[in-house]
Amino acid sequence: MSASGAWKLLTSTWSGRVGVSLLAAMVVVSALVLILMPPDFGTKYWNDPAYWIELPKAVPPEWYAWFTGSPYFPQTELELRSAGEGAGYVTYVNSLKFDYDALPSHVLVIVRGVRFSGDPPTIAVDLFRPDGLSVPLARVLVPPPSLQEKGPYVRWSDPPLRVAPESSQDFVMALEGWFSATYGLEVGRVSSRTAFAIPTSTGPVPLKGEYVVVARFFGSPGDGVDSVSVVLGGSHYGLAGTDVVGRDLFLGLLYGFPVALGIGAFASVLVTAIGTLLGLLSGYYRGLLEEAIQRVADVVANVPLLPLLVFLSFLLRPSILTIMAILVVFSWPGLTIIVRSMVLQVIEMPFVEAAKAEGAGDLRVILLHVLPQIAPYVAAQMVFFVPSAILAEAGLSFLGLGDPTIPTWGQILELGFRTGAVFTGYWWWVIPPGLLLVLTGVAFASIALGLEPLVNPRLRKA
Amino acid sequence: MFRRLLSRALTLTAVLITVLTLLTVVLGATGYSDRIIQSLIGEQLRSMRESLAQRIRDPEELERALSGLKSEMERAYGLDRPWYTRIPETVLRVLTLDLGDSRTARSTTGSTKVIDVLSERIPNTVVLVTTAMLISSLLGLYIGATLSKRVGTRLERSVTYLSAVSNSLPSWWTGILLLIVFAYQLRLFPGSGMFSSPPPEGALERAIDVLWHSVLPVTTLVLISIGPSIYASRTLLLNVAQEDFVSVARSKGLPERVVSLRYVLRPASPPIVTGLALSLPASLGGAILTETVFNWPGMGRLYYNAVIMGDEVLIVALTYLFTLMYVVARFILEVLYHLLDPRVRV
Repeated sequence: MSASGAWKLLTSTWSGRVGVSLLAAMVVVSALVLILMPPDFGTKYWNDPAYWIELPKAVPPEWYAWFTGSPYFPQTELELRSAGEGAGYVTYVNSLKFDYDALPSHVLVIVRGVRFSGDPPTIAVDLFRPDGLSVPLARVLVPPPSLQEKGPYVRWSDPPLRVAPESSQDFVMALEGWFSATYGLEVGRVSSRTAFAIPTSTGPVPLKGEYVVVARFFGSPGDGVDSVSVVLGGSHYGLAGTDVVGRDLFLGLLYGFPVALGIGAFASVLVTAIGTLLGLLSGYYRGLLEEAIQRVADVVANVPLLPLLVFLSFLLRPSILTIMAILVVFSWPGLTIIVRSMVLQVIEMPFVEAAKAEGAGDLRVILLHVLPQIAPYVAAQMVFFVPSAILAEAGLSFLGLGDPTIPTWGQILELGFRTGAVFTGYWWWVIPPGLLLVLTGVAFASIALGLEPLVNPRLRKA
Repeated sequence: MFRRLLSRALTLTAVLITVLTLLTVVLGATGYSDRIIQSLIGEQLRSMRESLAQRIRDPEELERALSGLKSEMERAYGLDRPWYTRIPETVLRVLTLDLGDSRTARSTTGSTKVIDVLSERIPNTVVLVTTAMLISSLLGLYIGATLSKRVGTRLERSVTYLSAVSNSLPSWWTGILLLIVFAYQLRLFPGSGMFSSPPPEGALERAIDVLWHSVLPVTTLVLISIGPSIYASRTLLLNVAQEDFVSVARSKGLPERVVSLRYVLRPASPPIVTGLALSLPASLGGAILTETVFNWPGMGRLYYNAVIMGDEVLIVALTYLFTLMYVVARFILEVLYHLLDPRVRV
């Protein structure tokens, strides 16, 4: 059957169409990821906890709040704007209309790019609550220059300084004193989120109203700061939520697309090529070569794959290439055995004998007469093998043996499972990566099913 | 028949030896086996030092005696020779189930001997895997047979589609979903382990307890393996059902039960057994992951722990045992195949 015939067959069935459209969607997503995301995303961002510090930890996706109507507070960054000068200081101010039913997950003060030439400046950031209390959020003392350093000095340009208010005793005492004096209640442990709360007998609840954040920069003339802002962590985040490190799971899942497809395609092409080549050789040339290849294939085909994969990746310190190499080494025999038996039938056919009688060389006979006969089967097997390779990598990752430099769906799931996401109910952490794995499998299985009549001609008349 | 079985047995033995050689070569080339032996010698020397110290008072003489013992043991273990000369003995040692001591795992009686630990864990895995495989192959055969008579109907097409697709369910993820829904949301089944703690008194209560704990892991294994089973049975039975001798049997007026049992199922049974044999490695592999998810105290869970803790002795022993179990099961199915298919018997 020709390639266009196979395409027609594939798109004529319901499952073939489902498979092709799913796969096309995945390819598009992968292409976009490859263009838009940095290739060193894993090592540079994903594995660097500092990068994710501004995001809330282990919160569900935003659309979940929308569906369930649960209390919601969006991830907010409040950048303070310059508002004139006082006696020896510059003020930066901004206000927030707080009208949410959920408290922020945490509060961070972010200071970027402090420049000075003489004495180190200091920065004071305060929060003015609608009930009249002012709380010190941060008191920043810029470290003085070392002896070797030459001015002008720059601090915290990249990465910026991030201050957690609850680390200062002033913050904790101001809130505790105010709560017991004004409301006669304790909130238990004061954390940065309680700066937006009032205590009740059932615990802290949000205090609605207008909040003002004021930063004062005390420094010599000519000194300055690039920006001062306050980050309020959301009660929900993004399209896929975050994990306990605060990583945006949506980015990790996106990055998993090209990785999964790459692993599947690469391993599958290699396995198919090796399997077919060895099958062709042993079926066509027969004799000692056949015997040798088939014996080896028989032995390798009987090796249980997963235990060996686990063992080898444990010892060889896993990289994505080792994993794929092991997969390929242990997966070719199935195809070799079947291709050989198909070749044995094909070379008995009259047109092959005719070609040989006309003096066609071995290569010509194999390429022009034998290969086209088995090509549809081989192609279908190639499609079949893709999800197995992806699942094998995911299984290894789930056992903690994945390539640590590349985030994959299996690894996201593994961390989720190991951190107890199943018990704590962090469903957004374990369900989506598995669902994506299944979806990938479904795409390829549907295509393979659509190609079935090609492989099994009996089904064509049924 | 015996010649064929013999050649299968030879192949499977070759598998065993290949896997073992591979294990030892990798362990040797990466320097792991040297470290294992060194820690073994170190431990023995420590215990010897105490008994020797009571006889030899002079500390210098004690050190000399100990270093003499050390080099003697290194020679005995072959540490003075390069690692590749030790391959044959290591293979032979493991082949005869002389598996050594584990660093991390202990049997309930407190023994650290790998063989003791394993003999406790193997039955748990065998029970889990065989139950699941029996259920899924019988159920798969039944559903597949029913479907093969209704080819082209909407039911047949959708079940076939679902079973092909279920192939892509990762076992561990399926397990996690079942855990979330049935163990933590609905609280119908326990989330981990094999017994309640403390385990109930009485044999019957204990058996029921184990059964209750095994529902979720067995369901997981069945869910992931039933799809291929249905799909294979349906396709094979469909192929046989289109043979001429089936049409002849039907046109002779034989009752449908006889036709489907004797004329369709019988000739289709050998390839179905083969399919079962081919799904074995997936089931064993699935057991590693499923036991990890459900904390089922079998070989798979042990393997996971050994990997996490870096217990080399245990990893080698378990990899070998997985292969051994697989090879034995494979051979049993092979014998079954020969009994079922008269064409290979003559």
